[in-house]
Amino acid sequence: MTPVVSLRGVRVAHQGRTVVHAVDLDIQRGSWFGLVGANGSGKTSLLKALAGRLPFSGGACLIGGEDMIADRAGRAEQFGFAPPADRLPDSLRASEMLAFVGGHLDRVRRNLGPLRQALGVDPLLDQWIGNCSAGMKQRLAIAAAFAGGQKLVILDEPFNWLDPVAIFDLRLALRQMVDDGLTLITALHDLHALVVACDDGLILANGKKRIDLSHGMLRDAAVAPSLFEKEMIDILRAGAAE
Amino acid sequence: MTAIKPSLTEEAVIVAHRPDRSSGFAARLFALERRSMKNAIKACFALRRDRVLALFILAGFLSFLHFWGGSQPWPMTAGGGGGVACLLGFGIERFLDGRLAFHETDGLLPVAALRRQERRQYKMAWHLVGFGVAAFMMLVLRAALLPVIVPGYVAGALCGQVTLHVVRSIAPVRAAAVRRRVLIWPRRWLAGLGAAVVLAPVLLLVARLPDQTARLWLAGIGAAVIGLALTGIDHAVVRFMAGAGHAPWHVIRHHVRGLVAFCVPAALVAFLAIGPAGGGVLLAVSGGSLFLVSLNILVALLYAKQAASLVIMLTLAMIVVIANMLPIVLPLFLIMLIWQLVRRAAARTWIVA
Repeated sequence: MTPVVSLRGVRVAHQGRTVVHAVDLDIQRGSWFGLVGANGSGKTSLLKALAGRLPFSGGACLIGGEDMIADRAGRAEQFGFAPPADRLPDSLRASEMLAFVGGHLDRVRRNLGPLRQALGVDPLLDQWIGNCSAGMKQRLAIAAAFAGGQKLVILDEPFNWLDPVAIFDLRLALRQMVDDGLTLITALHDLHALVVACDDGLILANGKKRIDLSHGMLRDAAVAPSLFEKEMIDILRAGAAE
Repeated sequence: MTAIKPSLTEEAVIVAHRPDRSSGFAARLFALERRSMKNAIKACFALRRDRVLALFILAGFLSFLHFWGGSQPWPMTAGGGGGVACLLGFGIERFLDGRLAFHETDGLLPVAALRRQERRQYKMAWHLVGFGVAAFMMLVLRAALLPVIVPGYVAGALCGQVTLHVVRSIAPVRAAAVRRRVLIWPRRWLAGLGAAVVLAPVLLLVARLPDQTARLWLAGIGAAVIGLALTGIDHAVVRFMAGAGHAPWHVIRHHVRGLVAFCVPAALVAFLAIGPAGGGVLLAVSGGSLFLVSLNILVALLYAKQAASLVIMLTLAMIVVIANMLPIVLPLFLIMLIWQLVRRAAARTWIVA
């Protein structure tokens, strides 16, 4: 099956320093791809570059078979992306922000689907973003990624700041959307979420691909999660020590 | 018949974004920023007494501008007007560039910020707003000045663009790091001492001038330039310190180390080189810088970044009005202002939203 996103030898530079080195990855349509790595391993830079928020400094980036390595605006148009929650505009109400991203609030509601309930979006709509707590802002940032209705969505550590109930509900809602055809790419720190939710994944260490996590590996990991966790921690430690 | 007022949510649907308004003034990015700014202004003047006070300040400032402009010789008002328009064009160009860089990486509408045509429309729309403000001020000052501000504004905007290109071509990847360093700089004792060392030879040269008035003016301008360089604050740092439990006075103390380290030795050099009046000018200018940085910090603790800039502008306008109309009450006003802001800012300590 032809992957919907295919990266070949991509590099990302930040402030003159290469932070992602020659990464290859393939993401299938209608799957949940998890990116795992230590702090500073290049996850956010890679995801931002894929979403057009940063330029790639080399390699090939095929989206739907078209090379978009030099087309940042095109990539930004293809992907829904959750902006950093702490950088949402304080002076807008949640409804205004989502309406600006999605074009119309009714359309946003449709695009959110099961997330509307899972994120508890409706009670937040009349709130000023500046008055929201960190968790509420995180919910709105995730909602913003889906507001535009793209079929490819990138979330950078979506479960941060959320309470356990919200994490559970969000994970189920995202899984449901993926089963309905969404292609979801998330950076994660939680290995449990990776095992129970993702179809494929990748471990990054120091900006380099450390290991591909195939569907089979993740299904096996679901049977023996403790063993998988130990293996992954060893890999991450080894990567950090390099 | 009474019109049914839509709820906030319905209003957002109707007003926040109209799908067809995607060009010129109505570009999505411009609309987003405009709405954000409008909301910030509304929040600043939510109370009737605040709106009345703002109108009073504005009216006072405009009358002062009008009567002052009328009493000055034409070359002076033309030079001043052109200079203000130039500064406005320069400032807006730099500000817009920063906003677009933000939207590209962390904003809600990166596509609009990455497309050349949308960028151009966004910039043009804000420049028209900026030019409109400059034109209105010139009309109040002296209508004959309007032709002067066009080249002034355009030159300022072009200069802003050129300096950005130059900075990027010299240090294409270091700009953010340089900015961080520049904002950290004022918080260091050593920076203040260094600034005093830089100013000292200037003061010694100025002291050789025959005219005492010129000596005092030049010493004051030199101190003001360096003082302004030491008043930069990082909005995020200020908010973080308050959220982490630092009292407003502590946040101010943290930010004025450089200024304090500058003013004492610089005033001493001015006193020795120019005389007591020179020392006095240096202390007065440094005191003004100290007030400005305190005001910046206290307002940053109370308002979001965009609203804070507006509040600062209005407060400075009010100070100008009072200084000209009732100079005797100015010190009392300044003390009351700071006291009031400190009280309100103290209530924000420990709020981590």
